[in-house]
Amino acid sequence: MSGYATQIAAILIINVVAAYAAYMPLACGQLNLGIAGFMAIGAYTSAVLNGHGVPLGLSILGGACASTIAGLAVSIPVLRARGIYLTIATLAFSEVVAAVLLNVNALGGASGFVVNDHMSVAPMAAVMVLVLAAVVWLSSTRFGLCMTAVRNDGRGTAVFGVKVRRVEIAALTIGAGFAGVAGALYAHHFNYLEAQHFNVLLSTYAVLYALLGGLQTPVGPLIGALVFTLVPEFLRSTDQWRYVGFGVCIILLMLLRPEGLLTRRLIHDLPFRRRLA
Amino acid sequence: MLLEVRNLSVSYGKVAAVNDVSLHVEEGSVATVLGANGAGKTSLLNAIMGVTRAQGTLRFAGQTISGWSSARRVSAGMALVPEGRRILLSLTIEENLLMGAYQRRDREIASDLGRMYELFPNLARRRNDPGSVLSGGEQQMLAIGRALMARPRLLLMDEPSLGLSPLFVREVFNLIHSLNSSGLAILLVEQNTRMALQAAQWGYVLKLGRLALEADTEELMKSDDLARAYLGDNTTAKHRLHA
Repeated sequence: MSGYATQIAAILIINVVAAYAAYMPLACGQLNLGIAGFMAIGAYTSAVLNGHGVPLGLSILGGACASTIAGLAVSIPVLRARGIYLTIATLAFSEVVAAVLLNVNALGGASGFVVNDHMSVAPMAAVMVLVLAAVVWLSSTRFGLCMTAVRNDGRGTAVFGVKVRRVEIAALTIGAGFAGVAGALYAHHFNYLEAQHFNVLLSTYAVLYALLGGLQTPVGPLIGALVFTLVPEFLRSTDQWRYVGFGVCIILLMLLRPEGLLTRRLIHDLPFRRRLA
Repeated sequence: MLLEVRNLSVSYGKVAAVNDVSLHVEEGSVATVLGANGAGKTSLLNAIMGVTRAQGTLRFAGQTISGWSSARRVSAGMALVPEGRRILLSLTIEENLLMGAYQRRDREIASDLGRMYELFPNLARRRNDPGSVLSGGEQQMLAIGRALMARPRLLLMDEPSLGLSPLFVREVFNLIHSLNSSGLAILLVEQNTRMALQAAQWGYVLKLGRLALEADTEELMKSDDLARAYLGDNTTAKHRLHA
């Protein structure tokens, strides 16, 4: 692979994992705009552990654990708020994390933090497949069914005995764990961290991938991240029109496929349509 | 006695939706709660199900359940058919039914699913379609089937005939009758007074959150009190209509 292709592949993998971090809470109707904050926690934790001689794999695991714990700690008070207030609270959390990292000199502060061990694309892809498999498996369980039910009708789902708040907390926490993984992968591939990278735009893109790919199936965010990481690259030849083209693509998609690229109906219909025709 | 509600009150802020209501449902019987819009019928059912906070004492099958979560109440044998059906539109018909069995851990869920499809052949044919493809009447059947999947001893039904065609209204009441014949106790909240009184053995009338009247349904059908409690003091208007 050329250097360019390797970089794109690495970014793609990180984006896919981040998309699943956004997907988990979205799948039960919660918009988390603090993905970047959880990514930063994962990235810096993994980098620090690695800097103290912890092996690469364990460091990444440590980063994921740290962001999971942060996710749990944040979601319990934050999920008392609903809808737009929840989103604002997660956004604020993310900004606090970035501000703290920017000011802690032990973590490099504004001059950034150098990460020891490098991770190449192949093991990164393996980690991505693990995350994907975990989400596909979760979606096939009762918990997955509950997430969709809560997204449809939160209050109504309580009637069946579902503990709605616990489902929401679990989804946001698992998503935060995935964000930590994405952050750790970023840290070890690029070997350099700066707090400013983990901003709102990063969270927004993660949410965008999940929404545009579609929330109805666990494969949606993969498709979303794939398409919307690669489209801007293909549009690179159009130079300054690149982001105009990208914007047009997003608007067209919202018009034509408001439920996302990949819907259950699409999957359901494909084999049957052929047989009937 | 299967369900006993004593001095139940529900308030939203300063507004009292249900005020000091006591009622009971006998094992294997149908009781109905009648009342106009805003009488507090839905709040009453939600409080019994545990999805709305309430003051008062609730006893179910010999246990005091007042502080219990909805989950525990479902496990104990209560299920609610909510107002407006509230089908989960992104889930398939089969998944909707399975959500009803959420609290169960036994191995007979699959066979119960089969029984629901026998009971509702319309649903069987479209079990893998999303809930959104169903008509209002079919959605009501699905909502009832979903509640039955919990294997309840007491079925709470919130206006099951609302917005349905006369044909489906009759079907819903036939179903209520046959479910009750098989031993299921039902607490039925309705605006369709005539049908509800025919289906139930005991009737309660709510007016602005308070119990205005309770009696044997045969008595209620004959009495003028019902019309007065139900329609306020507008009985003259009703007489004029008939004249």
